[in-house]
Amino acid sequence: MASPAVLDAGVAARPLRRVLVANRGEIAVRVIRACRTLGLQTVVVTSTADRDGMAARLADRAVCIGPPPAGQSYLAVPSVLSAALGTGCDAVHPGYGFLSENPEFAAACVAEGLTFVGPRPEAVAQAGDKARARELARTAGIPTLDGSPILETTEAAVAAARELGFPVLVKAAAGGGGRGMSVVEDEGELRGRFSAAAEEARAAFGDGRVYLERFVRNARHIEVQVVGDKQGTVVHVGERDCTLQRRHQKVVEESPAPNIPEQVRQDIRCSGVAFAEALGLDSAGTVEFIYDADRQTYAFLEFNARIQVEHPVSELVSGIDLVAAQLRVAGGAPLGFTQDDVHLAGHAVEVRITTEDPARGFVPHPGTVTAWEPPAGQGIRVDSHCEPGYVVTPFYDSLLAKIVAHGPDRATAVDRMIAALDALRVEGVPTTREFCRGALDHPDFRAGRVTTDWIATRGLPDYLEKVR
Amino acid sequence: MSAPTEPEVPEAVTYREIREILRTFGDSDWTGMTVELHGMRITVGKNGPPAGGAPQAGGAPAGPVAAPAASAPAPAPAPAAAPAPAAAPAPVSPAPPAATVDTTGCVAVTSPAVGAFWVAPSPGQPPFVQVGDTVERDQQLAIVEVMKLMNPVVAPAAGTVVEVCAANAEMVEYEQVLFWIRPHG
Repeated sequence: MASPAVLDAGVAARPLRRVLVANRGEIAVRVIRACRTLGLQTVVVTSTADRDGMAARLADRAVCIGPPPAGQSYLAVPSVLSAALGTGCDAVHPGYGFLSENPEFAAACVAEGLTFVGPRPEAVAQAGDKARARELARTAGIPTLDGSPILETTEAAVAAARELGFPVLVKAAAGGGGRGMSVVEDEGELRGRFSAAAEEARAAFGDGRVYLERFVRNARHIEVQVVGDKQGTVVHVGERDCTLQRRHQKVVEESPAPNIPEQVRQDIRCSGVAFAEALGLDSAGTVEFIYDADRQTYAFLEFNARIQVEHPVSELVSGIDLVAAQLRVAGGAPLGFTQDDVHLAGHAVEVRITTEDPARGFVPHPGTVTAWEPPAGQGIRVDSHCEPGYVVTPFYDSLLAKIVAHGPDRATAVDRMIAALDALRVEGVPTTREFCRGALDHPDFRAGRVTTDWIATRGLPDYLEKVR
Repeated sequence: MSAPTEPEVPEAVTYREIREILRTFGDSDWTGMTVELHGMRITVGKNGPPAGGAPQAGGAPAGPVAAPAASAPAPAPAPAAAPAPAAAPAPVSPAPPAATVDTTGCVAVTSPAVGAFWVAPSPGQPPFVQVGDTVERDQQLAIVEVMKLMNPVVAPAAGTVVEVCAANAEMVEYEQVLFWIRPHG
């Protein structure tokens, strides 16, 4: 549409030369590798706990910025900035976690003349404010999990419930933290219960106001990978299904989402792009949705203004290096492809190997990895900073590796993953390997029928029964 | 030497590469070597300054080797241990500094933070301490500035300053050794 000269106008970014990697572990290794493929120099910050780690060795330079607690190292904005400026870096890649979604940090980088490899600081701030993000989604025409207004009468409640669709949650305006709400299955039950619910709320909270919310009994987590540039192009790179979670921690992720009507899949992707366009996204990001498996509808949850842990599944089905794309667009280059150029092929599954003991409530388990032999083979990718002798400290998350399997179809990808998990050899620390293997091979997962509470209600009990 | 998966060489010489060059030299049976690449010159010798490699800075050889003085004379003011090689396009990392002083029995004073190392309270003023000075416990030796926040570096013990290990205004890392102090017995 516009000529290149017009597209370039107003783009103040400059190509990057030397990138400070403000993170640790596998994502620091991942970012360093992407920098290398682009011919960019790298400086990685480390705490004293990571000073001899793989990222420190792979980078052109490592700078020790503080002691192990993250607050005094990876989260210490002045130290990170000082390392970037002192080593002549012109850009900072924050990875995920730590400072990646801290708008003050992004703004401080820009103020110091450093390119922040991520969305504009204003976009980071807007996405981080859940109410503002939800409002943005609503104005972009994206479904959100709306509640009704306060309801005075049974008839008003019935009308609101018809609009939301049953089942609904009757919630006390003064309640919270799970108190003062109940599930109502149908209209008859609502007619019978509504005035009593208001009375109970008055008795419990001294406030009888109640409202309704849609109740999602069988929820799945589906998110859309989006990426944009400073010239205004925004594309999606398909969706990921991250339904297998425990305590809101993702355990297995895959792309594309299984067992979902094709039209809904397309609608979710379009909603992801619509949100990114409304935000003016000029980097990589993820739009998260809750998918109601019973109603086959979805609603906006939140936006993540960073590269995600599970980005490799999208890379394997698309062939796009998302971290390299982040770096290129941060330097002002156009994305270089449009939606029509994004071809999603096959199926990819990712398993997070963490040093946690599923038999003990997934307690993180520090220790030394005495043996480490990652799997390899057709369609297998391993993103890891682990090696024999690696010490898992109690200071950081317990992620050891992400194993990703790609295949022409879902069954093949899952088969390859199971073979890869069997080939993985880890000694010295307990891992989630066996637990994940069991979950992947479970008939519920094979059929694409798991929900976000599946591990708590089915997966973990089944696993514990097997190991005992 | 480097892993086969590594892509192209970065545009400027990196610390890793310098380290690799020095290691290769160390493993060889050469006695001296001068390497020039990307506008940077490295001259090294195994048993003193290399025969052919005339130091271009005129004065003392800037290599990692310094004459280890047979009979120690009176402690002269230490030669500025400037590790900087010839004008290079801002390498990622400074070359490893020369180890010239016997620090056996000394106490290391390390940096409290990552930041700029300042030897004086402000530009133009005399340094807090110099090699040979006697210092008291908790006496200020330097400043490490982290984004305009001045962190004092203090002596952990009373003694004599035997080495200043970083150059003024240089970026130092957390826990990097800044001074060696020989404690008073």
